[in-house]
Amino acid sequence: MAMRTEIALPRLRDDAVIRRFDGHGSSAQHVVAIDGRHFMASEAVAALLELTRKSESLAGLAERMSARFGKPFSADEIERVLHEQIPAILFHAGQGEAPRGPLHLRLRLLSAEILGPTLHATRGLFTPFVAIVLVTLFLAGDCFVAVELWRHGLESFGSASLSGAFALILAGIAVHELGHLSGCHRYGANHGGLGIGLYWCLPAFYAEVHGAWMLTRTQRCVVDVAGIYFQCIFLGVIATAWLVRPSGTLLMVLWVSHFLVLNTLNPVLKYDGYWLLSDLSGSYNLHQRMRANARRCASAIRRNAGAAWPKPADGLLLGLFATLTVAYFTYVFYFLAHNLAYAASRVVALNSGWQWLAAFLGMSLLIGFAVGTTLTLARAVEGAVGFEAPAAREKNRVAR
Amino acid sequence: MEDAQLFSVEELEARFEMEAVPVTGSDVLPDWTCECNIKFAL
Repeated sequence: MAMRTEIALPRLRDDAVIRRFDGHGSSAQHVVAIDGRHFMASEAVAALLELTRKSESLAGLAERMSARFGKPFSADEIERVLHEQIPAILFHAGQGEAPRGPLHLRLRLLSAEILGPTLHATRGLFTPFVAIVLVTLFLAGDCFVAVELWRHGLESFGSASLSGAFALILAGIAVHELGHLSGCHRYGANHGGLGIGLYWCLPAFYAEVHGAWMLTRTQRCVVDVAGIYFQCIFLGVIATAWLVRPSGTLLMVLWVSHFLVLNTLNPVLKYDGYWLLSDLSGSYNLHQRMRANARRCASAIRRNAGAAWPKPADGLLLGLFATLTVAYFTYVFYFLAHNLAYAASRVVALNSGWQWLAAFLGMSLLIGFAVGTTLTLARAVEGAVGFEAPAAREKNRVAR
Repeated sequence: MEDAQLFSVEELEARFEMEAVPVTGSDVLPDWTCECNIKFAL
């Protein structure tokens, strides 16, 4: 009988942190953090990883696992799990590539170190009393502005400086991102800085709050809404300034920023609403889970063998997500069509080369965005319901 | 199959909290005009 060669036991890296995930699942799950990446691990994987730090051999590790879970595990089985199922980066630094994020052409503008003093100074804004007072003041400011507009009309506040308004709107977005980072800092989670990148084909500011995965569900939700909370404080200041000295520029800042806040609450794209829905429901990798549940529904509708409907809670979440998706994209396509029609109606009145060039660039951007949105949406729907092109369907039938 | 579920591990998506920068559109920004005059001193 051949002797089994003892294989070196991989050991969980010392800088890896394991914490129980505060989610909705019936079975315990754990988050493993390493090098700014986070993994969701089952109870057995978390225990196995912890025990690699205490065991000397595969046989010893299998024995400890058997004692822990009250069922026999062989050394071969444990070895297979360690080498085939668990990402190598948990054992060795620099192993495996990080998955591509949703943002392209990412440019960090301010690092966590530079933002440190500001984040520390703003952590006091996260007490319930302060939050209630500030949000009430913001709402009161909004009401006063609305009353003034109702009394005097939009036209009576003069023209707006486009560049001035744009600068203030960008400042509001930066304050928004600062809010997310401040929330992370308040609860002691690791975080990065803030920057700008391309999401789909739209420029977007971002805050790196990967460490929020290690927080409790409530704390994660606070981090999610902290951006809007900070932006509301900023808008409260703008509203007060407008009430003291009305100007078209400040009014434009208020109008566009409110629109942005509403847009960021949509859970379809990965803006704040997406993370909020994910954390409120105690879920994770929401897009992936929605696609999996949609495929399950499509399979059940087609009465495929072994197909089953998603669990009621998952079905409910899918229904909510699908409804919001339809509503959001209806709005996006209406917005695009409206703007294209507006641009086309203005083209006929243009009389200089520069105006033609500006109109051409603007319309190209809108058409590009419309085509990009349609293609991305089509790919997402195809992935969700598993539609196959006729040729691929025929090929698969032959293969079976 | 049971072990595959028992020993499950998947990577969580990177958390980037984002807010879009507004792009020009008639719904968001009002119409505007600009004027430029150049005078030559002789």
